[in-house]
Amino acid sequence: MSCEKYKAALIEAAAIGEDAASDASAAVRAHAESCPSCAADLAQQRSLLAAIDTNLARTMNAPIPAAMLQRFEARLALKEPSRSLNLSWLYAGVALATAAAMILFALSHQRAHKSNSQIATLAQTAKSTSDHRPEIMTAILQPASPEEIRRDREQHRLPTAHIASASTTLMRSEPEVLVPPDEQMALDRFVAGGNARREFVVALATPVHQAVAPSFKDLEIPDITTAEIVIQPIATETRR
Amino acid sequence: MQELALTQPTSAVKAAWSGDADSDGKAAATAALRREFEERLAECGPLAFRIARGVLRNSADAEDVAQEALLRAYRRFERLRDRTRFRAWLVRIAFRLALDRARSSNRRELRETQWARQRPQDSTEDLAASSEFEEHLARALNELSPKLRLVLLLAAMEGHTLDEVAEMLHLTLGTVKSRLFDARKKLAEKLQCHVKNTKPR
Repeated sequence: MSCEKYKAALIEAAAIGEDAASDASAAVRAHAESCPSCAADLAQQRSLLAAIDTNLARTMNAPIPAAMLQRFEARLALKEPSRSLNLSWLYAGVALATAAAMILFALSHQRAHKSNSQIATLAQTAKSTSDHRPEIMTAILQPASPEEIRRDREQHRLPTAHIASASTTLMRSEPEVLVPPDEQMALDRFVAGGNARREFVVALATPVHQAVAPSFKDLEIPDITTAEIVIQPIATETRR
Repeated sequence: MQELALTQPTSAVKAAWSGDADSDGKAAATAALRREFEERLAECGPLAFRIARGVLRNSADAEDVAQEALLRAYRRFERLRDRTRFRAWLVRIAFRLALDRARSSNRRELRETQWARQRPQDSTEDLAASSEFEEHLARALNELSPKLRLVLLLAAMEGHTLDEVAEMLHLTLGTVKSRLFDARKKLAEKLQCHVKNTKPR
């Protein structure tokens, strides 16, 4: 049927309006003038669009609520602009502080995670080195028992606070300072040497003002005795 | 060479030092700003309401949205450099707010629509057909893109020529006509089920 090619263009022809000049719509309108079926379809499309326009116009031109502007002015009076500005600044500050706290928390968390991984690495290194030097590592890693501390205190008469701090340092599970493995091994050797010569280490650790002043025996210095000096003339040699 | 004279600070200087002058100036500026805004309110308030009503198709919600849009416009009015663009600016604020409201209350509206469907209709068949048509039209409008929809709504408003719509939206007249044609054609395509039922009014 020859009308089929105009069917799709009927909506466009109706939508574009009768006033608008368009070749396609002009052709459709010209065809509709000679075809009663297409003319009826075009009229229906136009009536549909007219219904749409009427509905839209009714919606868009609905009466304004009588007291809408008065209600708005009352609402405006309740909300001072300066107050709203202050509140916006307050909200911005709170948001900024929250963001800063989150960043700090994330950084500290990341740092703790990193130090834990380093501790684990060092622990593995220490474990591998302790396999080679079992007597040194066990001597260092074992915390001092209270009996040992008491014994040391009695033997060397160290101040209580000094021993307490030393014992707490020894009994801490986490190392105070992270050192590279080679430095750790050197420290191990130093502490092992110190364990072998404990008295020397205690003497080094004792504060100077508490160190026992050395007692000197009175020296008996005998008088200086000189032998008699006999002065004799130099024997003259035989004169020539 | 000028002589230096020791003078006592005047009250104006004292006020400036204490910040009173600043606060007075700020209050005066705020009052002037408010007067300027209120002058535009009588003209632009209904515009915001109608845009919101065109999207929401509900007067109560439209008034809420219009008031919210006006409040936002008032708060940001100081930052608007070109005051002649106030209408277009307000239209966009109201349109965006109305779209947000329509999206957020989509589920509620669906419930209300179902309730309305179940409600017995004692009125005439024409009224039933009309409410069904309105429902379908609202759904088809919701499916339009925002740029087509805004042009369609503004063009449907009384007292707005296509030239004014183009000026308001910073578009050319040809773009406005093209968008209007596209919007009407898409609506007609989506409402083809009503072709047999509609009659020219």
